[in-house]
Amino acid sequence: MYHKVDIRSPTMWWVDVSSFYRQMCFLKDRNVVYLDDYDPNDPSHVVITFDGIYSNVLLFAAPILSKFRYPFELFVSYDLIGAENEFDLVEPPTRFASNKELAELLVKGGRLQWHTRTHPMLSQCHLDRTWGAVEDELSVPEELRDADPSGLKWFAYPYGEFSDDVYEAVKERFAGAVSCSQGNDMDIHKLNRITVTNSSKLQSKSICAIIVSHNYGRFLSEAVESVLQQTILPDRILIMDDASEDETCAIGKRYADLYPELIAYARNEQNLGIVGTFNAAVQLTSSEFVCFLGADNRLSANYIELCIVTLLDGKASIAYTDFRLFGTNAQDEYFKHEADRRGRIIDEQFYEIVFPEFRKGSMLTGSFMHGSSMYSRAAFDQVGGYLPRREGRPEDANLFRRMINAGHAAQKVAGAWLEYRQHSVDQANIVSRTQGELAFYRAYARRLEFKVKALEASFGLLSPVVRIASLLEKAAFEFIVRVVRIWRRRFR
Amino acid sequence: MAMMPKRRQSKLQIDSFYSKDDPWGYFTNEHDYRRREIIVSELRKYNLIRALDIGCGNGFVSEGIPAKNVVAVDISDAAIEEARRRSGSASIDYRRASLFELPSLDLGSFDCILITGVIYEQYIGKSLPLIYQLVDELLAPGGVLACVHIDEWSLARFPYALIKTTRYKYRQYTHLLEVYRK
Repeated sequence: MYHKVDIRSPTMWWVDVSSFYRQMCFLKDRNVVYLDDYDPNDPSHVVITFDGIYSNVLLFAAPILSKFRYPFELFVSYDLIGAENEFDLVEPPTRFASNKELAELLVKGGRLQWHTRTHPMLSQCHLDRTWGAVEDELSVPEELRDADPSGLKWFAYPYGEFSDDVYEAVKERFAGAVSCSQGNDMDIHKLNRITVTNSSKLQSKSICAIIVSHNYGRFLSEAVESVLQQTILPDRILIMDDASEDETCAIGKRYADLYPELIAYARNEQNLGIVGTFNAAVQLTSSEFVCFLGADNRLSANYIELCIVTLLDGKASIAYTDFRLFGTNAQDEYFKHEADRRGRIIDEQFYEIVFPEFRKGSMLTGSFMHGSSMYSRAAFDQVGGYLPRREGRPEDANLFRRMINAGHAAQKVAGAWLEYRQHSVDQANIVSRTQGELAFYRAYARRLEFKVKALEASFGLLSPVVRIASLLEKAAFEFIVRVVRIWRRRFR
Repeated sequence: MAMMPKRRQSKLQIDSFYSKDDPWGYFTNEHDYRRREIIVSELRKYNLIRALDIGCGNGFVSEGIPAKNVVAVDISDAAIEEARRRSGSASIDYRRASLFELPSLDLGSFDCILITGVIYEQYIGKSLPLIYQLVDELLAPGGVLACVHIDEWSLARFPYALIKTTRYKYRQYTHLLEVYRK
């Protein structure tokens, strides 16, 4: 149950827009329904309700509800339509929605329901006045029914309270009713409601972003800031320092001091490398979802939101995006990717690399998704975490391949939402790709040698012509390798 | 370090501020002429057809936006009245609206959006995700977003490629111009 959604929350009855947005994201794994469709026995069912209705719901909540295509219920106090909340002395001034604004809310997926005419405490109303006054509060004007023929079957008890006779009267008039204080989960005429505040967590699963630095202190704050600017903040940020000898330690500790509830800093006293550091970092967290970010890279502000929304329904264990290369070596690196992986070039500064859509049984060769993909901790634990690099197979791709082979699915999020700095020929992805090419050439050489041996075996004594042809093929291959090496030395 | 106002500024307060002409003194301050030249010369690099100026105030910068068609909005009625009075251009459509009211105007999409001095805590509180969403609904794919704010108070980092940042001296502050490509 919400009352007001606005850019600030001066009291507990106001939820700020950022908190509301986060709460709506975290309902993505639930089945958001109208009250008419609500099944109290189905734990996936959720109904979003507003009381009032205040005009700020149209301005600040409705665009977000429309984005997520969530239906919502609007419990209207009829005499307050279009009025100021002057009677509410403890609340900051605000206005109730007008009839026109209510109509706009209906277009955006709202449904009108009844919350009395004047919002009285109904049992007290009975004592102070007559039973007729209670009946009057429960009667819905025809013009409001005309405004929403699908609605006004449900009732919300003002202040959540009711007496037995009020309950019976509501039962006679409405298909169901909700209460924020006297409800339960079984009786359709007094269903329980949750009063949502800024701090309400509508999702039990948590996210950890791990930023790893080995002497990338000069870029670290950019990476951390990119995580702090997320539309959905992770529950925890771990800055993992792999025995850096630069400013990583000072910067990491500073961030941990600044955000003690959010950011932790951990350091390996000895350099453990990628596998050791990544596995140690995951062991330091307890979140259900994890994503790594190299300290030299950056996340777009919507990265965590898009990934977690993709993973919440449990159909996939890995969420990945395309990425944008940037930095001094970005263009070179871009053209080293296969043509079908090259995406948009943005103002000759950003170079998008496109990953294929994941399909079950598809070839999982090379880097088929990037190392900052968000994944489920359970899948990580199941396959035993990162393993030492095999030539040409990056540790992250190897981890994801093993997860997929263990039956986990991956889901691509459309768009390039990771910014991947290209600044040094020593950085991990370039070393990895070079090793990959080396592995390819070695495999090719082995294939040639095998071919020669096979020919020798089949002919017994190899005929001079075949031997010369094989040797020529091998020499040609070695010549190509030499040319490639010289070319690399010159142009890198 | 200059302190940013923390208190929410209401539309009434902003209107009251704009009750006299050019309350910020844009038309008499060389810093503002320089600011306008920096923004406009940056936007000239793009072939703009349709631009939206959010937080246009009295139209000081809007008049120089190099697009065939400009829609300029501000939360203040008084500021928009002044902008219309001063405007010499028929290609600028001045409208009164806050950033959050933009969806109700049904403006269509733009290949350029300029946001000047709007994304400050006192104006937007805690609403950045919604601002990103609303701007994204208005900015065409490949479009240019230019944000101009006092560097220390700047809050937003839009989820687009940040293709250029320029900092320059502005009155007692440092201004930050960020140009993004969607």
